Amino acid sequence: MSLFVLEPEISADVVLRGLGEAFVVEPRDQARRRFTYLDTFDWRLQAAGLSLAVSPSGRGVRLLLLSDDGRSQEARAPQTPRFASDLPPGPFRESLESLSSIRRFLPRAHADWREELFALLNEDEKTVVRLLVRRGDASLPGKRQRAPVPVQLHLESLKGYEAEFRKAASLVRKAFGLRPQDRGDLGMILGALGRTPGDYSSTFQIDLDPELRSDEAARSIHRCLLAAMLANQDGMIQDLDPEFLHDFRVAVRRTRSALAQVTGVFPDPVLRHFGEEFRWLGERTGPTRDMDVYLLKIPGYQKALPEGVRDQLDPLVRFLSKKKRKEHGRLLRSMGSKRYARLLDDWGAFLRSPAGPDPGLPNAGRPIRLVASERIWKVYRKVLKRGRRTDRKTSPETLHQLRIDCKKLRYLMTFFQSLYPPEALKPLIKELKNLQDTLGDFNDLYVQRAALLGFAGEMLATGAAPPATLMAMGQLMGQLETRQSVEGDAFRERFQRFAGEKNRRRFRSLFAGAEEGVSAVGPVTAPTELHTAGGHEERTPAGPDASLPSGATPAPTEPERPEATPGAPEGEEGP
Amino acid sequence: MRVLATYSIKGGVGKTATAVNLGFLAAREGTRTLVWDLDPQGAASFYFRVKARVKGGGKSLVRGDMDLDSRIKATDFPGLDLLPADFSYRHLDLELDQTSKPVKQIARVLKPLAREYDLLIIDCAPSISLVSESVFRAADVLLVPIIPTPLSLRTLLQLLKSLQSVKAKQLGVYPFFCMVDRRKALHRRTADLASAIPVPILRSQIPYSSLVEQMGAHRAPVHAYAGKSVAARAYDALWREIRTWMEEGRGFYTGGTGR
Repeated sequence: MSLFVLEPEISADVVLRGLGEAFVVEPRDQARRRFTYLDTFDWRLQAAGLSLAVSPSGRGVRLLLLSDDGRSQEARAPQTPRFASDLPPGPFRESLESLSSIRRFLPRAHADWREELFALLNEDEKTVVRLLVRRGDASLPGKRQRAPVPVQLHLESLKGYEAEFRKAASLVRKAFGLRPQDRGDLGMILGALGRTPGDYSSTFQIDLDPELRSDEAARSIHRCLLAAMLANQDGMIQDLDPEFLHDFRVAVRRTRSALAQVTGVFPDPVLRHFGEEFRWLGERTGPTRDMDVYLLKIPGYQKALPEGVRDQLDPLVRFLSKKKRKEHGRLLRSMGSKRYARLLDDWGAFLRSPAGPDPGLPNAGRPIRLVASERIWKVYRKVLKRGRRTDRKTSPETLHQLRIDCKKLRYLMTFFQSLYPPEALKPLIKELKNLQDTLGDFNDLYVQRAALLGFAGEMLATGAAPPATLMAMGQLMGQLETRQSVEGDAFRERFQRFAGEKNRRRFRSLFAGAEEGVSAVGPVTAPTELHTAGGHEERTPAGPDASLPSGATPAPTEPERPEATPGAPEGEEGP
Repeated sequence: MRVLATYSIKGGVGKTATAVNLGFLAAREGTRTLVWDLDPQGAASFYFRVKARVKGGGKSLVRGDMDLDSRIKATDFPGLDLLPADFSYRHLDLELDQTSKPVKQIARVLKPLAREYDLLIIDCAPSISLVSESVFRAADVLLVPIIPTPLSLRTLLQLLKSLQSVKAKQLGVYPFFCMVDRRKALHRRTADLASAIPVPILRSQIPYSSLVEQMGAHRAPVHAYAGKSVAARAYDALWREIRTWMEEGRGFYTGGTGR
């Protein structure tokens, strides 16, 4: 399929006559169709060059997947799919599933088309190319306002008649100077509606001026994070898919980390107040996320069990779903509270307020490039120091602490990535990510076992667990334990690599030297500063965060995204 | 992918028209359908206005070095593709004979198509041969059109007998009456004739109709130009019944009735 857009001065008839020189052009069909274009909240299809359109057809819906390079796929489904997994199995579903994964399809635009279908015939009067002329207007979901879309010509290639298609496409191109559209169907419609796709991405992206005052830079970072929270708020309230809550929580966690790690830029009362408020918000959103995480793990659990036993996990699924509904209800109450509304208002107002000439804070007036490097360098060395102290006997709690240090480092590197040459920073982020993944896996296995045991207890107490289910869960716990020892070994290897000479040199050349007295003096292996416990800036606002949450069900480690987003590991960083 | 084969030892019984019309109906329901014209005469290809020519011919088909997918042609009907015939298929038997496992060959070359299509309808040449044996191996169901005459019935019995030696997976055999002409006394007694057949017969019958004969003039499935005709509706009913039989595992299957 190839999509052309007609200039206002060229009518479709002229093009049809032009094609008539090489083909017999026959009108075939006329129809009015209402298409709803779907994409995920973070525009995954658009980013992959795809447009997914749904139109009612018979008792179900017809789905059309157009790729910007001209291919098209069609499928039918009983109803508009919420997720790719709702589609009937087959290549169509597979094309979408790997992209959208657990993200829900949301309506992005409606278009009402008047379609005229033409067949281009060869000498046997066989259709060799199809031509669709589309006129219509479009609207955004929930909006009344309509906008006309430029007249479209779709040339559809038929299998086995590719040469004829190329001929027709080149005729259209040459004779009328029309260019194939590369924005895709949805891109074009959104263009006509004045909306830009790709306005949300879970990747943190901010361009900082290296000379910007640090308090201004910190405000910019926080404004970005606040915008991410606000963007995900509705989807999280409606529970459209687990990623809204997840991204919301990542933004909260990054906010807390930025408050604690970008030191000396905000007055203490601000740090204390908002630190406490965002800790509260993290805590309130945690239990729902935990249930999401375990529900997402279920397919993996099922796969890990012998086929005959898999159904035994159904009571666990029901238990988790019920618990999740309850927790989500609680979350909604928190989101509806005055405390939450005030937090957003006050925080927004603070971030918009001018920084003032001399706030009298150590880092506020310094350029961000210096403060960024100092902070990264310091946290990096903390990671090295703690990592070196680990061995086979190191407790999971200590590794958990190391993981949190890694996360702080990762967040800092993410906040400030625009200050460093990407080719130098990217490999380091990648190394760090690998280390985090291994630590995350290790922690996760540990936490999962404890969680399964906790669930089993709760289920037993409420009579929700038949013996076979408990046995299947026990079987899973055994497997998790075996995997945990493997991951522990993997961690030591990864850490050796991360802490290796080459990476140390890279870190030093990028970040060291900004801080007076440290500038490339002495080997990194010998920490030049005494690590004083309790240094205020080393702590998250919540205080020490070494151990797992006690009492409550341990929080799971969340799966890392494939992209370079800092992961979204466990619930709270403090007990 | 379900594999149906329209098959008859005897020619001229409406086999190709059945393959073409049922293919059309399946695709219209949204089933991704491929019709494979395995008859060197290329009638199915002709009906779809596709040239009966396949690059590489029967030889490269059988040797398995052909990318079958690249030989497929879209028909004029959405969701319905055709693998055209080639005149060289008349030597397919000889070619098959030279391979190590001739009867498994068709099933083998079909494998890559299973992801692309939900349904394959093979239009076989009328004969009993290595080719048909290889198709029996690959197919789930044989659709056997029979004209209500003793001769046509006899060939069905021959077929059933020859299937006894096919040690294939379970293969459904769905006979149905075709080209039934109400003006002929013999044709009006299909019930009597059916009683002579030891296996269940589909209830739907395809009447003799000049509209079906005109498929060659229109070069299209009968629904494309006479969708409301008696003949078209007979194919509708036949297709519904076949679908039900397949879903419910009804009819005769080699290695036992039902499954």
